[in-house]
Amino acid sequence: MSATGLSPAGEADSLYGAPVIGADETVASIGAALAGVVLTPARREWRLAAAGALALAATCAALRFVLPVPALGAGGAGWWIGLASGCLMICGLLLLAGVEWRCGIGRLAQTAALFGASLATLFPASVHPMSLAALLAASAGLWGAALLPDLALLCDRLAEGGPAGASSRRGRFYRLAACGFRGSAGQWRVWDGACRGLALLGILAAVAVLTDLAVATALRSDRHDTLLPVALLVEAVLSGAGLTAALAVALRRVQGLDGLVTGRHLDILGRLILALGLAALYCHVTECVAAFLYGGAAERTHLARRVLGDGAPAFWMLMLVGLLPSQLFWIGTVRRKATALGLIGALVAIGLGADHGLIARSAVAPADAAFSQALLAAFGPAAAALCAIGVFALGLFLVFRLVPPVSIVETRQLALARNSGAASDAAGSEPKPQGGRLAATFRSEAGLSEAVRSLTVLDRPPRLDAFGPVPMPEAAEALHRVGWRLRWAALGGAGLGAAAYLAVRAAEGVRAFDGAGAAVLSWAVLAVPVLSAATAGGTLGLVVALCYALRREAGAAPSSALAGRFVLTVVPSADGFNPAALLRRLNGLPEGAGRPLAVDGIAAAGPRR
Amino acid sequence: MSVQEKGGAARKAAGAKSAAAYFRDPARRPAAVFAAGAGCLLLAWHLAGLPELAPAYLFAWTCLLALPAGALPVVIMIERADAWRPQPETALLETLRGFLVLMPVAALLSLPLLPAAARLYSAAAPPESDGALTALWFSDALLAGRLGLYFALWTGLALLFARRGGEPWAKAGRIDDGRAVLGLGLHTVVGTLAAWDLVMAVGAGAEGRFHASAFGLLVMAAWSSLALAAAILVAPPDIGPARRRHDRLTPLAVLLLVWVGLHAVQFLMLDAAADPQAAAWYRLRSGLPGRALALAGLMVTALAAILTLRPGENRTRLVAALAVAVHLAELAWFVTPAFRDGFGITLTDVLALAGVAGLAAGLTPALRRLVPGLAVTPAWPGRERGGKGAKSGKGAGKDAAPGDMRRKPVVRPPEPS
Repeated sequence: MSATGLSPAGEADSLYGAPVIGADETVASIGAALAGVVLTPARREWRLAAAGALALAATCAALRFVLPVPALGAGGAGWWIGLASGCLMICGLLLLAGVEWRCGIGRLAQTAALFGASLATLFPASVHPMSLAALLAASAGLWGAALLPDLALLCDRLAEGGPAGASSRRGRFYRLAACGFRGSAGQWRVWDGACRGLALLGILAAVAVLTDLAVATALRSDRHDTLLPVALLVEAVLSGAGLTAALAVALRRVQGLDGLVTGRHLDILGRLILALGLAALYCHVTECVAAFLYGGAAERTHLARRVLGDGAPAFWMLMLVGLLPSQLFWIGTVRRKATALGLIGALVAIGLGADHGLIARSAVAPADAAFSQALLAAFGPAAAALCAIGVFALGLFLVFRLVPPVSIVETRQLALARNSGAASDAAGSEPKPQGGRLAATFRSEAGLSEAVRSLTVLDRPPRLDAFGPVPMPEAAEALHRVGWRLRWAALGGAGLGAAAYLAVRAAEGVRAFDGAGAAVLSWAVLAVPVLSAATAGGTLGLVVALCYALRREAGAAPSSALAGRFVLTVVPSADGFNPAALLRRLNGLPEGAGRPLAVDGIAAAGPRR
Repeated sequence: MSVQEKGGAARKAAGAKSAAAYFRDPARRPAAVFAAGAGCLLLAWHLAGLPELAPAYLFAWTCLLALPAGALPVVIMIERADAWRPQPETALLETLRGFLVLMPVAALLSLPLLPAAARLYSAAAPPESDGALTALWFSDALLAGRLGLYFALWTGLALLFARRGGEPWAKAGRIDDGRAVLGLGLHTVVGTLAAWDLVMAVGAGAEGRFHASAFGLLVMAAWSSLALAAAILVAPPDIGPARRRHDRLTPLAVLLLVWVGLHAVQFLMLDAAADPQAAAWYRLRSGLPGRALALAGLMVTALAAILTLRPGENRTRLVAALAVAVHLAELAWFVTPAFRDGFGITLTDVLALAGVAGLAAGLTPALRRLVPGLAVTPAWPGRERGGKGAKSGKGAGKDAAPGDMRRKPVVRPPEPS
């Protein structure tokens, strides 16, 4: 059932908003546009920009070898951890909530999370290494899993260009990376479940690393506010939304994807930034009021130092650059202006980095803090930050030449739900069945599902399989594809991860049992790293199970399975199979409710329409 | 016919009623419940005395306040989430709106707390070194003024969001971003301050001035979780496709996870800070019953999270019932240990809870008549308790109570494909 079908008639734009996808977008046009972004030769501007980013990254990376690691500044780790966690939480929450319009920004947020988590490992980390590893694993797992259908489609596109395309280096890479994804109903079901599981694990990893950062700060500094973890979480999501908004605006401008990353997307991002800005403001004001009304003398002194003393630059940068500009989005025209959104989004991401950086810097060991006295303290962190920004930009340039910047599958799902004619011009060659099979083509998943139901009531039903360009829950249900129990793989992996971490810590505790052993094993010390270990283990378990299940559910897909149409393949049963009767049965179904557009294979001498 | 039967028939013919039947009359039921509630409170006073009753009453009253104050953000979130993924109007949403009308009742029943404020909040009084502004903030007069302001704002919000429903699929039942942000923002600010003033500040001086800036969020999460769990227990099953009927558990599991997460984070941060006042606050509440409660909360949350993998109506109700029990005990855990040696549920607490519930049930119909805005559509017009259909939700057309036939379906029937 489409979302519009559920909404009341005549709903105002102010309530449900403008369309989240261009009215002309179809399954075929989306595939062509987004595959074209990747497969067409790079433009001169892209080469120049990539070269500039590479030069910046290379110049600054050289400093990485010149300067000692603590001189790079722990603040950088806090900033990138915040950005990565925020982006991961945004895409994870949107995916779990089943929000349709996520397609426009989901891939951007996932990619930013992956690069952010990777870059955080370059800096001296103030969090437990397990927390950072879990963040990296969860970001990479979700990014990679969400990519699989798009990679398979790109592989098919290259194959359409001839054998040279399929056997090219890029074609071989796509085929290998797609893990055998062919678009069968079973594979779609497995993929959908895995993505949801990875999204949940990603959220847990993000929460764990931010809690770890807050607790590390409380242990090593005089900032003990209990709202700090919540404030870090809100600020992380806010900075992630700001970064995603800036990237979305840039993508629209550079690639001209106005029909896929619409003005409605930008409007929603603006509203999200505004609401999160208010939430962050609540956290900081509450912290100040609580310290003033209920706190002792020490807390008030700390508050005064933070607002007016040595913490003032970071505090006021957070307020004036990070939070204040977000309040401009109360004005509708500012919110809907792409340039303003991109600029304010970038400002928000930078401004909130001040708080994350300050927190991470105060959470490092005092020995590292001694570098604040050195000359390097002024130079090192700035160079490291420039280096990281260069690597981030270069990574985006390179990755979006290899994979589509917007998810093809999710955008197609949205088009099929919102645009009534989205499936009508689904292009591609007619399906080419293999091994004496029948292949029936349908315009929609509903039609295919009806045909499956009509065939499964036969006395000796043939073996059926369904293929399509988007997930097909209804067809999978009709085919009785129960799906793989990926959740058990995730739970098993999580249990193993947590157990392994506890075993290592227990061994350390036994070795150091001279009074400190008890502290090593206290639940307050173990809680967050165990959660991170469980998340990392769960991610690994889920990814392995996904790869295995995709191979098992592949089936023999027709060549055009991912091109845009829904294809039902029929494998003749060993005895008593009557293709003509089967064909009569299919053609006897009402149009639009099970009758195929075309049938190919042994029963049809050439395509029969 | 015996003599007694003849006498009974004669009394019935004359319109006379027995005492039990007199109070079972629906028209007099609120008065009867109110009297029973007042009786419970008087009994608690008689048995335990005023010093013991005051914290028990505060605990019971916070349980009552949790229903409307906890339902408010949930209603706003559910209604606003509709703009992202359209959802049908459900009995759960109607029930939550029904809780909102308890806000003025909670305001009225907060009046007995004002004379007891000096006894309940003596630990909140700041030392003289804190300055005049802080002293003013903690004065009894300003506390009363703040309470008045909180309830004025909360009642306004409750009226606004309770009135917006009642007509499934009508445009008036949907809210835009502006109202949602206004409602959530005001509720968050008021809820934080109210939680600090009414719950965090309790104490008789033994444990000092405990404070945690996340306490407001923690209490609001507990309130919302309690309100949602209670609504799940009270609301009838939705009529519609099975997958729609079973998705009540996920929001409850999310709220329980948030609640447990906030508890854990608060403890970890205070533990890292090694704050002596916080240590004393936790020590007072960490006896055997307190630890058992913490374990029970963890287990209920884990059960809710696990059961989202295999949802079902009875499982959802089981989790909701357990969650209600844990949250009621938690609200006592917040308040009562400050006046006793530790945490434990006493007969006075139970009597106070029954008393406040009775007073609220008795006052609600009268307040609905007095305040026009509270006369919202009842959650399930015509649906009374009893009847096979009302209980099971299956075959609502055939087995439902007579009133069900006039009731609008709360879940939109599936569209023809």
